[in-house]
Amino acid sequence: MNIVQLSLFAVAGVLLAMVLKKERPEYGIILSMVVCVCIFFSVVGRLSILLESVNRLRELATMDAGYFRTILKMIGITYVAEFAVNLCKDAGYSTIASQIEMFSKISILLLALPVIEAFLDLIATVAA
Amino acid sequence: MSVNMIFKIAAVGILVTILGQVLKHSGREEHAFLISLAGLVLVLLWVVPYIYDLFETMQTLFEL
Repeated sequence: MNIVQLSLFAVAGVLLAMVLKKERPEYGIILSMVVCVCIFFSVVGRLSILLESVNRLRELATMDAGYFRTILKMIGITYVAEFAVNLCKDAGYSTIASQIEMFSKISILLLALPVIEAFLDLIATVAA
Repeated sequence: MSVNMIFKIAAVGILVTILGQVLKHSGREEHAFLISLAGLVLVLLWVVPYIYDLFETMQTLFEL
């Protein structure tokens, strides 16, 4: 599924959603959701290849596996939250979107906490 | 697989709209509402497993 097919598919989805948006808005939203899901499935193929190569690079750089996993989790949380937030904004419910955004920010901060603590301990040992 | 899902949903949407209009003009308001509800449920039946697959893949991919 190369970029030309993908963009044609997206434009077709948008046009169909436009037709349905006037009479039945809920079908427009469902249609845009399905287009997003299809595009994501073609992204996943490329993403897993990317992640494998980054994993191999990580072994070379002897970086701790835990940190790489937290980075991966953060990317995942951002991606899922972005998907839900934009969908809610499309449907016109921006309050729900901001709640999801708030939750995703807090959960990312929660993930980053141990890394920050490790960093502060490092500084404490160096300074003291 | 993915492209005809789009056309199926659009077809159901358009069909429900037309049927709704016809029923409205022939005076049966509640039938029109029932038809649109049935169409929505049908589309949701198609879409929900699709969305579930998406979040399942995300979870395995990002080890959430």
